[in-house]
Amino acid sequence: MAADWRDQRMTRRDVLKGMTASTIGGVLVAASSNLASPGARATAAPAKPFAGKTIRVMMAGGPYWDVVSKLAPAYEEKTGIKVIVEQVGFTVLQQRLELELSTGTGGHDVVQMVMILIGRTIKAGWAADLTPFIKRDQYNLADFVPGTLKPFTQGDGLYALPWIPDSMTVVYRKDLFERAGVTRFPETLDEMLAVAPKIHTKETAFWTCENNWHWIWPLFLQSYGGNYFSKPPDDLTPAFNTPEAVRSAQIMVEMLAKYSLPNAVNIDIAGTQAAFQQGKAAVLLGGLAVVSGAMDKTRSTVTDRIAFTRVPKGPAGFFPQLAMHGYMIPAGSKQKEVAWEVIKWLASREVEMATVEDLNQLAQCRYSVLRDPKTRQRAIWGGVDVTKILQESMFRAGAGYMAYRTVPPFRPIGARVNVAFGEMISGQKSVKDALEAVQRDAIDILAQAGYPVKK
Amino acid sequence: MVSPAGEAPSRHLTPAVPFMPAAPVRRSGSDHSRSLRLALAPALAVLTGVTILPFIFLVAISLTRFDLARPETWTDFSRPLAGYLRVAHDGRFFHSLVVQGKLSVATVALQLGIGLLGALLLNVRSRFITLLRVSLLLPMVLPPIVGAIIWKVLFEPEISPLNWLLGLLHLPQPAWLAKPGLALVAIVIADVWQWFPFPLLSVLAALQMIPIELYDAAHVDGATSPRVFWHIMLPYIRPTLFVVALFRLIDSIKAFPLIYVLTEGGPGTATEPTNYYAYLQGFSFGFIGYSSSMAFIMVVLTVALSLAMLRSLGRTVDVE
Repeated sequence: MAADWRDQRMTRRDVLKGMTASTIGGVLVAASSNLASPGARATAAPAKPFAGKTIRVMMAGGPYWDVVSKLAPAYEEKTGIKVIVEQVGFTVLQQRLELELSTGTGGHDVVQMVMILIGRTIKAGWAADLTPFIKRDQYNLADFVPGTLKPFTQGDGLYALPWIPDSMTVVYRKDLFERAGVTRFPETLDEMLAVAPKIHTKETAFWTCENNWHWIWPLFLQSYGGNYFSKPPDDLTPAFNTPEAVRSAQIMVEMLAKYSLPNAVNIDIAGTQAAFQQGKAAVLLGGLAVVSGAMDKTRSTVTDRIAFTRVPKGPAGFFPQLAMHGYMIPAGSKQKEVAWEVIKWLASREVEMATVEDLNQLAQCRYSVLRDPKTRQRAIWGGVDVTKILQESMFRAGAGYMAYRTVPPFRPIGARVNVAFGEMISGQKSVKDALEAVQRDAIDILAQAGYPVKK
Repeated sequence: MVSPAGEAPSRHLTPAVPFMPAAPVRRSGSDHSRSLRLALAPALAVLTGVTILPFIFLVAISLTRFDLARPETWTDFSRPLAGYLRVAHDGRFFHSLVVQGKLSVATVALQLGIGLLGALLLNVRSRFITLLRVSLLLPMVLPPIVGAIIWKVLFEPEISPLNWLLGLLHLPQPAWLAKPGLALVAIVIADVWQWFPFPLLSVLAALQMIPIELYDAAHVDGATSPRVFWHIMLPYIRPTLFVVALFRLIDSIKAFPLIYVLTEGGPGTATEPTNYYAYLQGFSFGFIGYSSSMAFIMVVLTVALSLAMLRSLGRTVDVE
């Protein structure tokens, strides 16, 4: 029989004895390590070169960061750096970035570089140039697909390491297409418009996409030969009222007004994803990170009937849109050295692979991750390698057609485009009138932002 | 008259009742005003710090072309009226004033109407009614963002219980927030739901202050209910209605969470009031100078409207 529990209780004296013993032990261990040879110290020191440092990171929230949080303790164990990720909503993130970066408070040492703020952020001197770190550490950039680095490059400087390449992709319901006698997904936007009425029903809309129109429209606009500006990034003369712009907007608005969900005008990413997962739309067009939600068997009721494909092209060519987000160090950070270490880790193959394995996150920037058998095993869906669609977009975007999106005054102009499409889709204005108004306002916005152009 | 202690009575000496504060000692005019200034100084200092200085700062910034991405513009007073001139040519600004006007008129009128009606119905003594009054407070005490999220769920066609109910009744199930007219109606509904308890409780309190004798007299004279309302109740509650209308009007101009969560000002700019437009210019686009110009104009308009209402209230009270 075990001894009475009272015998096992610790007395205050026992506690004091224990504390004394452990203190002496600790001192001895510390002393012995200090007494070790200088050579031993030199080899021991790099084990935790940044012990006690804390790096605060601010990023748009999502399950990605749950995976990173799982990896963070091991990283801290290895380097001594405690990484705290603050997740905020995407809209709030953009506003907080503006305020935090412009005031140079250094509240965060690593923040998300949002594609539409790249030009503004770099021009205002808010982002630290990573080139000195890259040269010093001989950091290997060759593993990143080229299109992923281009948006963050200005002159000789690189101002962020890439995070998620959101390449515009299509996922569609094979069964609904087959039922309508359509054997393949349309290759052009004109074909897509022709096919839409055959598939659209009251129960299942032909297509859905998020209401971030300044992101969706350029697929149509560039495919019909238009652009936001004459020759971005050098000539920012607005080109919203050109015949190409009007034609492309007419097609897109017609497709949204007639063949999309009743709430197409205000449906957000979560709404559009849910609508496709619940079988309320036959086509979901959006960034790969959004579209790949269709593979989620825990949420989607249609995973066995879907296929992925490229976005359609137009008379002027094939312009799959690519939104790049990255990790940047604010110029006001007081711990740039440590922040650089954290950026390297966040953009590492290790972290990217973990998100592939845990989240099926296929929108990745590194060749080594995209070509990894574990990624490929997840990426092949219905015989199509989804990562190939992504790589193709990244390669093509490397040619520079996404430059319109990284000019400094993009954000207010993009927001103005969103308003115009809201007006067009809900029938408040005709396409021509709405785009003429955008043209006028864009000239004003550019002047206000310090880029005067002729009216 | 002689006091029990045999002293001459004095107006300024110890009061007859223990623990009663002493009557104020009359001092010379300058002493008095100095004391008043000293007493008011802390409050004025706080008021200056939290209200007047930020307001002066707002006015000063409104005279610059301050753009967050161009720090040098923060002291650029080279064209001090540029922001105001731009406002004068900004159709979206004037449209936002119209939206604001529609929202304010609709929400304040409905809140007052429903509040008044509710107060008349609840102006009885019953335990059930007491419970009902407490439960009616709920929408008002919820944080505005929570109220907005509740309505977001109710108005989203994919998940809306409201639309499900309409479907059961074989009625159309609209995409509330996708149609320009309906989106504005949706915001009005949500705002009225959240704030009608304020007029209701205020008017109810005013109704309960009416002397019962007046009702008795009216009853003896054979007055009908509408006449009782018109000649007895309404004169009593009119000042309350004015004050509540003023408060709600000012609050309606400040309404933000509902717009932000439900529509973000859309579709297009159909539900974009002036404060939301000023917020976009300042915090989404970084044009703080221009945003401040709009904010200053809003302040002037709101103060003018409030003064007009207060003057009207003063006339009403004088008449009564």
